[in-house]
Amino acid sequence: MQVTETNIHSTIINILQDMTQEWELELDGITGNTKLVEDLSFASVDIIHLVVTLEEHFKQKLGFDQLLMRGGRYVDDLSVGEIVTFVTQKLNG
Amino acid sequence: MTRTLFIGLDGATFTVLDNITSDLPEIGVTMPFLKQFMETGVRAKLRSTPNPLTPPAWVSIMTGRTPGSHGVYDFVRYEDKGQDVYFTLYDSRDIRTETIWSMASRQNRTAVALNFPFTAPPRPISGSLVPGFVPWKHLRRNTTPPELYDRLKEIPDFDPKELAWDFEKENQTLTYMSTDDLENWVKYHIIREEQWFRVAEKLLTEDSPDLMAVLFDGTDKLQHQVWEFLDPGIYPTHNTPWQQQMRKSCLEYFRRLDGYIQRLVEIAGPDAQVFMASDHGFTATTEVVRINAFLHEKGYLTWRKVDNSEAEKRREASNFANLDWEETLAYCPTPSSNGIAIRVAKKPGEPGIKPEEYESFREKLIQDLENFKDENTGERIIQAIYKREDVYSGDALLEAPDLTLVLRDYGFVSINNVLPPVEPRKSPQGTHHPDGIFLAGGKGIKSGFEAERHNVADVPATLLYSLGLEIPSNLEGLVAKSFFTDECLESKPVVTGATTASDRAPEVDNQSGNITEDEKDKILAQLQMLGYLE
Repeated sequence: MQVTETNIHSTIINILQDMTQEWELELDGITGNTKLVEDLSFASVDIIHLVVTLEEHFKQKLGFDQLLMRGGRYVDDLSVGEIVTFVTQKLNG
Repeated sequence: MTRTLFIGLDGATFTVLDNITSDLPEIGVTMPFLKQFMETGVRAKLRSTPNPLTPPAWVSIMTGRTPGSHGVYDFVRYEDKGQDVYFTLYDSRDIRTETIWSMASRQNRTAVALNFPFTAPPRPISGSLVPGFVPWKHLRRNTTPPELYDRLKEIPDFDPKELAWDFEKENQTLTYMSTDDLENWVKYHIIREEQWFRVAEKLLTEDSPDLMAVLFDGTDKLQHQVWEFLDPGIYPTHNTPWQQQMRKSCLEYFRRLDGYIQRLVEIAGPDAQVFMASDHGFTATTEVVRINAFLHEKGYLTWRKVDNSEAEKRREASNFANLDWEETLAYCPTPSSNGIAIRVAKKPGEPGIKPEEYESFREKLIQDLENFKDENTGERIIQAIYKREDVYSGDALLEAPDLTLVLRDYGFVSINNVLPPVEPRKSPQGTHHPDGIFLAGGKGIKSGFEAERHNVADVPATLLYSLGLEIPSNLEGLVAKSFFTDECLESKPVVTGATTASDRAPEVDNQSGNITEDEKDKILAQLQMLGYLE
């Protein structure tokens, strides 16, 4: 049994739309190319809350440190597409 | 009908409360209701957790368990990955033991919990929960039940931006502030507390929960920054107009808080029992102790080489250690931890000491810390050094720092790459003291009684007894029986019952996100139900 990236994509978009609905962002919409920091004004604490929300939704820890840290440094930004790919891979174990 | 009202006062200390409930010249009594409450009820000191800090102490107050069991030691959790250390915030999923909100709910008691830390993401509750320590952007999604947030919007002037935790502002708690910043700091917390009071007033009035619990945390935030205007041993020496104005502003905060407490007690009604507690007390810190700078001097850690990129600047300014993880053997992860983590290599070739070297390495480290002394007096800078097994026990023992430090002035360490390792502060700042407060009043509570010192883990047992519930046999805290009248104890004896339920999420290896095969099957089934599996 495998989860599909399409399914995860729409789920994560929905979560982000719900999360940011009161943030007063000037944005046409959220797509796979949308960046958390650049486009959605995420601060580090917002990324932590997104991680918690996704892990709660999928009912398991997903080891997000592997996505958030690269070469010993925290990444500057992440696209929705990168998160979708990571979550899909993790769920498919 | 509300049986039990619990008011948390973060960092409240008798040092301040006894002073501002006294009739002071030209000021009078700042907190007249609290004065009456203490005179006609019970008061006791309340001993905090080994590191007297908001996260472990409030979680003990919510669970009746010590940190070695409940698993929360700090604001920030660190996971050693070998080549790196990953820092993230603790949340409700990290609490390994059942909370009082859950204990009450499963025994047909309704509860309202407002502004308590580590209650997000929220767990099921028979009642309402608005979490503390959550930024406004995430408040709606972490409030339960889902319709509660719309009810809060009915409150005149409700503003989540004023109510919620401001991550940027809270980071200022342990930093130096300008005079303007200090004035704004007090105003900011007056406004915040008003917001939380309005929420509490609405839910207490409209819902009358069996257990009503609200935490006011401005007490802690103010005392960190404006301690010199509140400490009776310091403020009388302050005579400039600005200093006197600052003291007035601080007292205004406490005057308003007294009004909020009075109003909540009135709404709860004459039959309710009222309890107040703080997670730790407060005192003055007069020096900066740069523990990682000291460890660097002794060869235990290596600083990370920082370039001029924005990302590196942000990382360097953060409140957790920025080190060369290939070379570091022991370090302090965060200022609030007041602890030292020893890095043990999981396999040959990884950074850290060999497992068989642990005891000798730790003894040498303790010796070095004991020899960290005041150059002028020869006095130890660190008054106590606890091995984790000395002060913690339970399933979460190995998640505790290897060493917990108590500085001679109870201050929090600095982890900055600055010398010298110890230096006097420009002016005294507030810091946590192990002894907080525990107060009680109302029907069935003794009058004018000073009880023996209790432990933070005793609070939920006492609240459960007040709610008429059995006390789970595996609570580490005890009912504060001496608070209650003989008639009360005779008509309603303390009964020990079944152990707590486990309300923790499936057991997950935090280090990797790995789960057991059994749990994996359950999760796959849940994902299938949710439509994720083909």
